[in-house]
Amino acid sequence: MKHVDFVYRALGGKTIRVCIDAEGSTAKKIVFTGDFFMDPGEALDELNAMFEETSLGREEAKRRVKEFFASRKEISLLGAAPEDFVEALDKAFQQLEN
Amino acid sequence: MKWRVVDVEFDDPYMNMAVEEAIPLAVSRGLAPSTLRFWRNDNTIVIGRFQCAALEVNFHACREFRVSVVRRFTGGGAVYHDWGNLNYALSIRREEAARDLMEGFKLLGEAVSCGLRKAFGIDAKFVPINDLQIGGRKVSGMAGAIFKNALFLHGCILVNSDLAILGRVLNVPKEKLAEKKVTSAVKRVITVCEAVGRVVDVEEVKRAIRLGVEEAFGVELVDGELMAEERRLAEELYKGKYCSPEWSLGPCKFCSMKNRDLKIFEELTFKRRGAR
Repeated sequence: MKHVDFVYRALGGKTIRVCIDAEGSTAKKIVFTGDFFMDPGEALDELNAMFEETSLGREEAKRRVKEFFASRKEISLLGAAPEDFVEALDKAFQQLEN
Repeated sequence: MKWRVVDVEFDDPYMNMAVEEAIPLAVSRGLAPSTLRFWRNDNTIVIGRFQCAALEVNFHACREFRVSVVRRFTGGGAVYHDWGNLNYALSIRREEAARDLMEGFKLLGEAVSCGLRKAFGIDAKFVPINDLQIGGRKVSGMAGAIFKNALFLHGCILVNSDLAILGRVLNVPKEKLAEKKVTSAVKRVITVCEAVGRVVDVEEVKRAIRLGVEEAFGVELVDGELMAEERRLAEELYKGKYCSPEWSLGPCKFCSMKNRDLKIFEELTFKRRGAR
């Protein structure tokens, strides 16, 4: 199992960390953490729960993150934006594949 | 308008954090008035709600310096607390407060920096999103959360903290340091004592913050105590949330590094709980 911990600095000034456990270029677990602000706080647990036991490639994982934020309009973020989560995930996969 | 001030702290950082959450819960439920709380922790790292302890904390250094680790209920980054660090927390009823966190940080940040400027003649200023700086170095960071009927904002201010320990126990990502153009977390921060050029007592800083809050929010601060319901809520949160490693070690349930750090975490928390 390969492990990546990617640190992404969002334009809003905060950090998103993406940890991926993978077999080859397929993610088995993905966890987002960071020093951003998110309301409601439980939303991050829900996002991470989607990737607890998974088997996803880069594009499908990104699609699911986009879909999560698009379907949860009540989530407010400060210091990072939904696009930053997608970008951070993309770059984490890129590191995984290198 | 009168707001309450409570000056209540415990040796146990998990109880301190439980009280920190109990107050805005009580304010939000209409059981307590808008409140400013002052408190300190003995050597403790407080990580943000969305952070992973295994990534942000050097647990081996924590063991060496006997530093506890607790996760707070607000976002933002990890901070180091000791008796030279003062925490200030504002729980405001929504009708008396800012609309959102951004506005709240600005209001409280300007209130505290104004108090510091007046009390000590130092050039403290609020720097978005959530920092207070003196001469480009961070002296205080803030965090916050939105409750149903209350806005909660809190911050910690380095009065005379041991920056050498801070530099050892926190793992600050090199990407963040590079963006701030510094080589270590210690070089990015400043204490009130260093800025003022003399020993500053924590009580002086409390008076400065009180002054700043009264002026900025147009309120009268009145000394008060925790209510029975707040104490009950705090006990509940202490036992059910803050003492649990599942909460304090962060949101990644399957993190392999979490198991590595669990033993040290339990060692350190056991000593704290034993002290209560």
